[in-house]
Amino acid sequence: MFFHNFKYRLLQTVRAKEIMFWALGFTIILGTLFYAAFGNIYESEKFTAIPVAVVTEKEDKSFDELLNALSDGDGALLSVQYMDSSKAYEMLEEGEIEMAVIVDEKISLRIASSSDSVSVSIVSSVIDEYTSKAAIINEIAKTNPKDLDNAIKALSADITNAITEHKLTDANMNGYTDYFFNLIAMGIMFGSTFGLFAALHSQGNLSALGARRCVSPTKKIVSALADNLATVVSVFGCSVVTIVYVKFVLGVDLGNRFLLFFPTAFVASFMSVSLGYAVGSVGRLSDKAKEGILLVFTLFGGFLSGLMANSMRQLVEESAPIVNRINPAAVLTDSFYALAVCPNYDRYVRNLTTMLVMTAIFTTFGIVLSRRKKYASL
Amino acid sequence: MQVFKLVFKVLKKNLGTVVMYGCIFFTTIMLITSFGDTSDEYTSTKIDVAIRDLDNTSASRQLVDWVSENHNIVDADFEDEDELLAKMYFNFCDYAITINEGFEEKLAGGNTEDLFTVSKRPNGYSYGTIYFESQLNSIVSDANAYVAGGMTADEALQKTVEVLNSKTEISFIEEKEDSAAGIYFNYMAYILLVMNITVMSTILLVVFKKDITARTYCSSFSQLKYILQTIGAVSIISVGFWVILVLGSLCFDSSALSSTVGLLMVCNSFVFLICSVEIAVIVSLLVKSSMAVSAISNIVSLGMAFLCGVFVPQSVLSDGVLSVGRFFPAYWYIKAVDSINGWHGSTYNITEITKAIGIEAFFVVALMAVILVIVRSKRTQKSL
Repeated sequence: MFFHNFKYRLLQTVRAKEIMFWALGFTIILGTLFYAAFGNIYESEKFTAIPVAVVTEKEDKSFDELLNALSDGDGALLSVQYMDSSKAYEMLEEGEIEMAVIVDEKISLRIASSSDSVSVSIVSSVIDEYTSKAAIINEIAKTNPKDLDNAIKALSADITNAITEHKLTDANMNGYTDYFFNLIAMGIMFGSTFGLFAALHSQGNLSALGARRCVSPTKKIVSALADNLATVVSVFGCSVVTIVYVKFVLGVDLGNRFLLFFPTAFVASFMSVSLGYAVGSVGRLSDKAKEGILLVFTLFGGFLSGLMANSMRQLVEESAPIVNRINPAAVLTDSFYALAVCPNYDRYVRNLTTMLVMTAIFTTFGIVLSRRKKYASL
Repeated sequence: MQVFKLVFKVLKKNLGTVVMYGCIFFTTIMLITSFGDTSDEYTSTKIDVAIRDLDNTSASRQLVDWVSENHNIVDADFEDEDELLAKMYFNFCDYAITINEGFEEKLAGGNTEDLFTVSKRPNGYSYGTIYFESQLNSIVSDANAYVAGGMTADEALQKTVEVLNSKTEISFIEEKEDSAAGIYFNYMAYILLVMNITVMSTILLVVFKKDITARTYCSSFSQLKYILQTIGAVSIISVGFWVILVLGSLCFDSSALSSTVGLLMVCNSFVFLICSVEIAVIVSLLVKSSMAVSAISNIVSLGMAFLCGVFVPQSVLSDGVLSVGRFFPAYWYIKAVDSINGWHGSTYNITEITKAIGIEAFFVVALMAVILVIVRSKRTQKSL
């Protein structure tokens, strides 16, 4: 009887078009859209030479040499064009250049409201550095001329060894990948609806199927086990398709430990289904109200874990970390993050343990609430 | 007025959805405008820096002071690398710098080796990080020169900071008429689409129901009246939504609608409203169940929002995505919004704005043609 129930519950969930759409179809579509929107975002942040116009009102050979040095070669900082002021301002208005450098008694910058702030800051810091070096030489020439040569040597010395880099991880640190972790988690959390229907279909007062099953001779524990296992298999199946799609079709870098995503998704499927089963077994609430409660766990939980804004989970971590520990969507997303980014397993083990504890709590809750129910009339 | 009343009866049943989307929209905009930097106007770049001073000398403290005056200091526990990593991953921290022990001593001896240990995002080869690192190098180089010129490390750093604080003069070529409601109108593209498709399509699905249409066509009720009352009710509802949304922009900028920029955005959103209502009509003509409406409304609205630059600026979308986006009205809506506000590398250019709104108007005509074709093909079906 177990396998009979298992088989038909499996068929029932696979044929539930609406839930399958949200758990699988929508996840894949949203993943594709995330990829289209965020796939290029870090490329756009990578450095390209800043287009700058130089307007020379007063000759400054050393500054020209500096600009030539900075615009030379493949990894050049600047792309410099010399022109008169009217042409420079026209190009600035058209957005063809980021700024115009005016070389006069003092060197100044003219920018448009659309000029990129960081590019302007970089060029202004180059000019600041040039003028500060000139000021240093002038000052030492006045106050301590005998050490002027040493100061000039020190100014031109190679100081690249001042900074030593300590890498925190070799993993992909593209923060937008978190949207994909959230997406996989959302698909699994939508699976809680399968668990909900498994519970509703076992309650005589909530569905015709439940009423029929209540009068059948099958033991409740057998049908409940079969129902839950079948729904876990369905949810896990959907999550496998999503993970494979994200990794191999979209080509998102999920890290070197990506195979561990599957057992994580399996544990999470248990958690999600048991959550749905527990909510479905609560009291005499209508099925719409129960669906509403699960939507809060799925969508609001997803919002707090970063489905709509990827930095939300960290924001919650800094203001109310307990929310991240008890929000199933956040725990699951954080497990994927820990696998993909963290160099050790500490964070991952903590999350996995939390998911197992949640599964145990939800399952116990569901079983306790749904056992020994009798109906005077149906 | 039976059909007219029917439309409003169906709307009443779906009012919960309207209120839900309205609340989500307003909350999102409030979060974005309160947490995010919505202005593109130049401000001196500040990056988020976590700093630890292991030297704790007068020179190192001066450096810490300079960093905290010129950049944003982020609290971080350097011993807990997982926490530091999370802060960097989620863009809460761009750069973590430790001033190593012996900083002042080394600087005083003209030795610049291994003064700082830093951590940064591996793929964060961004302008901000380059900018900060160049500032750091400049400080070391200048302080080193002052030391070579006979000063102590402490004096050298003090002088360096003084010189660094005299900044290059920066001026603007034009005065920008800025509207804080720009971000509101940007996101309005999504909400107009999702609300119109979800609500209008659900209403029209009832009105265009096969049985109801068949019953009405064979009754004494004139077909013209039936169509005119439907169009009238739908127009009133959609324009009503739009007016509420437009007036909502006043919550974010009380002068939003009195400026040229504001009026252009209102005009742009009205043309887009017509497009979104037409899309809703097409959906209602093609689908058969309200479940399908819910799925399609999410796919169409999120699809356009992601591909056309509503959620992510067009300037960072790849050429491939943009070339697909061009075939949707939302792309031209956002292009107009960008140009009106001078955002994301665009400049305020009335020709560009008119062109973008004109192309949206072209979509209005094209979508109307599609509706007529579908209606005609449905009416020529032999059986009802």
